[in-house]
Amino acid sequence: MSVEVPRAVAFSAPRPSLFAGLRRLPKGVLVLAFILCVLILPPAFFLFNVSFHVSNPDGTLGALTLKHYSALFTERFFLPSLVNTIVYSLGTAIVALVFGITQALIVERTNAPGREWVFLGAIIALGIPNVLHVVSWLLLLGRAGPVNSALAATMGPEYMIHVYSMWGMIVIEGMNFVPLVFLLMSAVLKSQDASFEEASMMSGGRPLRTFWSISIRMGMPGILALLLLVFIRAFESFEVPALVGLAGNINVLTTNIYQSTRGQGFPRYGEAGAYSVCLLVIVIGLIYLYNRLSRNAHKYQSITGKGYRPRVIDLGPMKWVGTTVLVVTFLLVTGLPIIILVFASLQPFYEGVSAGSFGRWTLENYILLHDAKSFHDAIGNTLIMGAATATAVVPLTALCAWMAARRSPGAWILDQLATAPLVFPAIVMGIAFLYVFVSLPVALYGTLLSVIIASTSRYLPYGMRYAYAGVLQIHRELEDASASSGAGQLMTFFRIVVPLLAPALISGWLFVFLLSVQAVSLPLLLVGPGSEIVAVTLFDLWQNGQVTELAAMGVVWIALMTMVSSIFYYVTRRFQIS
Amino acid sequence: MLSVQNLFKAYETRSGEPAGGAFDISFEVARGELFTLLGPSGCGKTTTLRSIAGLETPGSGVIELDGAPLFDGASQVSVPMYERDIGMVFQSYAIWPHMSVFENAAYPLRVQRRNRPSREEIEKRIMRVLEMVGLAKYRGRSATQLSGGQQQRLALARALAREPKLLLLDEPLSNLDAQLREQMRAELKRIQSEWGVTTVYVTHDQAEAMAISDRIAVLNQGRLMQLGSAEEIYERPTTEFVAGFIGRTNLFTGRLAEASVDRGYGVVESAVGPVRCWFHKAVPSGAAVKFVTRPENVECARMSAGQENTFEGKVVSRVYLGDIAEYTIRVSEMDVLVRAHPSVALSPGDATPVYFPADRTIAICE
Repeated sequence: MSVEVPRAVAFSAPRPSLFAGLRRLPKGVLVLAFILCVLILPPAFFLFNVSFHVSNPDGTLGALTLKHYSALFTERFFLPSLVNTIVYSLGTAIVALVFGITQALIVERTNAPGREWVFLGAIIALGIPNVLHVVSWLLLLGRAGPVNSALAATMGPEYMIHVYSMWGMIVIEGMNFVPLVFLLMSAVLKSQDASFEEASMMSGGRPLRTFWSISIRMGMPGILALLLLVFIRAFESFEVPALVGLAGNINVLTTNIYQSTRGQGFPRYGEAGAYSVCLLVIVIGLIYLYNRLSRNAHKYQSITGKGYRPRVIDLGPMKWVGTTVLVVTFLLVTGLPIIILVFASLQPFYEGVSAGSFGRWTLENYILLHDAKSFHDAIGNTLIMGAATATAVVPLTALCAWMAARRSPGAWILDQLATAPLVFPAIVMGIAFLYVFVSLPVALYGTLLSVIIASTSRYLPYGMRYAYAGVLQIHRELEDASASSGAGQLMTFFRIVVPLLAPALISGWLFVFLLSVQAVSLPLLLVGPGSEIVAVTLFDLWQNGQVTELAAMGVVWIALMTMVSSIFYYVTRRFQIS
Repeated sequence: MLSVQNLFKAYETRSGEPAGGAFDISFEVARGELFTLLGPSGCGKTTTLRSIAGLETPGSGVIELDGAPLFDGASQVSVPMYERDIGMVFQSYAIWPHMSVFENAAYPLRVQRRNRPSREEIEKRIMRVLEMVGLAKYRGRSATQLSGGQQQRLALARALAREPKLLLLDEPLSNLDAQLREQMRAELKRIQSEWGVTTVYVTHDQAEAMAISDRIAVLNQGRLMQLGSAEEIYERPTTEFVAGFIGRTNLFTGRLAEASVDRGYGVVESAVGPVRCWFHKAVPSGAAVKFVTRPENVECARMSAGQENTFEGKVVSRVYLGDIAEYTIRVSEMDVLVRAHPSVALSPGDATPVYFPADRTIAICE
């Protein structure tokens, strides 16, 4: 028999207060939410705070003001910088997509010989820090570089190229994103049901017609989403704008922020804060757009049913053309940069590739590195920082993802909190944490710990992505079976969820490690004496013009990181983690 | 109409182990016929279908449509799939989500190179097909808004749009729920016979195959096991696999009691006693012989023992299913499954005679 509750009575029941509501949440959710808040809220708070206050020369904050913002919109740098940023990001996205998608199409949909080796190239690329990539391209295309010497020798000096320009930035950053586009696009192609194309062929559509009317049209939402993704990443990038743009007097938003903190006189924190908030708002808008677009892209995928099989087009004798394209792309993206780095590392000084330089081989740079304590310290610091960051991020996000995926009451907030840092461009995050650490009474500023805390906050979303995908793969009933066997929630988590989740967690750990050790813009403003890390050291070496030492250090570092990224690749392949 | 001769297509796993395919498949399909390839997953039915479509290139063999070769391994002929005049319905339907219902169906006409129909002609013909599958009123709708059954109809309309010589259906009903499946099955059959299009149908569902087909080819492990009408395959299986795959059956082993037997009747000495069975081919004296009989063909309770093919048995269990009562009856250590009319009232432990009609007790000599 059912008891009817009169509606009026149900409504007149006193509303629970916020505090009572919080108390009803599971303790686990509350603890996790607290930890996440500690990691995320202070930088956001300080960033806004500093942008709305007068900053005094001694670093303290003065009266409330809007002058940083009004200055931003009235000064003559903001608009040109914004335009530059947009041109640069769009160009980058187009270059990266053209190369990356071509590569993915050849690898996934044709029988070009050697196509499976492209993944190896992508793994190596994953192990090269962005800053090294940029430097090696500058060595290739710079004034003294081999490309310009060849141009000058064959066509005359007036044909020499000037790499410190907008198109130089676009090409270098574009090449940098080719592996990412390739990996994402090949995953999309792998998951696409080939029967859409087969249905077209069976309707009498020739290969070109099929490619145009079906493959491209259906892939369009996905391609647009990818374009926007690279656009966002370029929008918030720092290495290329700093190393290429600043030298050519081309300012973008991220370098404006950097300049404000490093300008003449005392650092203009308020201005940097206002810039950062603007950048943040733009990126939030772009990410919102991206989420809508990629949801659209998935709508097309969900229509497929069973009976999927991959489709490979027989290129016939043309397949060697496909291979050539792959080899050339590999050389551009990974091969040439590494070759020029190795070359430069074996030279006593770098002045391009000439007949003379082949007579001057030396191992001195490596010997110098081997003997330098600072180098060992930097490597040690970086490995500790990467390992600590990954070790902090992975268990935290694993718990959050599990609670969120299993819909514990209030756990959705964990998901929101852990993915929130995604909207912070790295340089903005760096500035924000800088404010936090200089204002803290504890002497954290300049220590390795400060970098670890900032990195942990920054890479939470990446850990979350791996953990969430992993949890979704575990069937709910596996846990229910544990519960019905009498195990408590924690017991179930450790005995059932963790073992099943292990592959996803291991690859998440490696991925966060790889990302965090290669970042420049986040730790750049945070490190101090005694907490040097490799990527920042490389950045400084370039600024100081110590090219050959930089090259030697880069080669050693790439070798180390390629090992890590190979393990990462092996783990994800072995356990089929997307 | 369609002829497939000695089709070979072997697959390998990455490590080089054999992984299914089709081995020496031959059959002919007559004009207007609905021909079904039936078998469990991995039996080679889809491989055969995709070879006819041109989506796979066979290792060897000959495929001809209307006298013209589509594929000939010996003379290296292989017509590209888009030049074969074949319509196909995919298991996943493969309805293009970026096109409307009408555009999906019209695509085959729009991409035609030779004598492409005029705009009005396309409009007329597509509306006719859409009408036939009952989608005319959805013509402007986005394909993503269709239900499973509607997508299925649209896939069929698209396959028939350019009136192909041959229609291929790859497990078209397997993505539908049970109720819709039966409805669509009838509709498919209706449209096929109305349209009169020669059809090759692939399925793993024996009931579906029997309901819809003019003739059925049963495949197993890449080989053709038996070819015939639904009745022939059900009533006179020639291999143990076919007997077991289609419906339920009682299987006995024994030895030929007579000197030899031609196509016709012969007596087999088995565990239950001497049984007279039907042989579909000649067998030498003393050969080991298996024979099968369907549970619904075995009779019990209403005859007296001592007659031909009649043995004394004891009821082990009875399952009442409403329209039928299913008995397990032990006849000299052999459990025999019997499906009897529910009015037959035996209880476990009862003794009863069991009769195997000779014309429905089929000897299998592989």
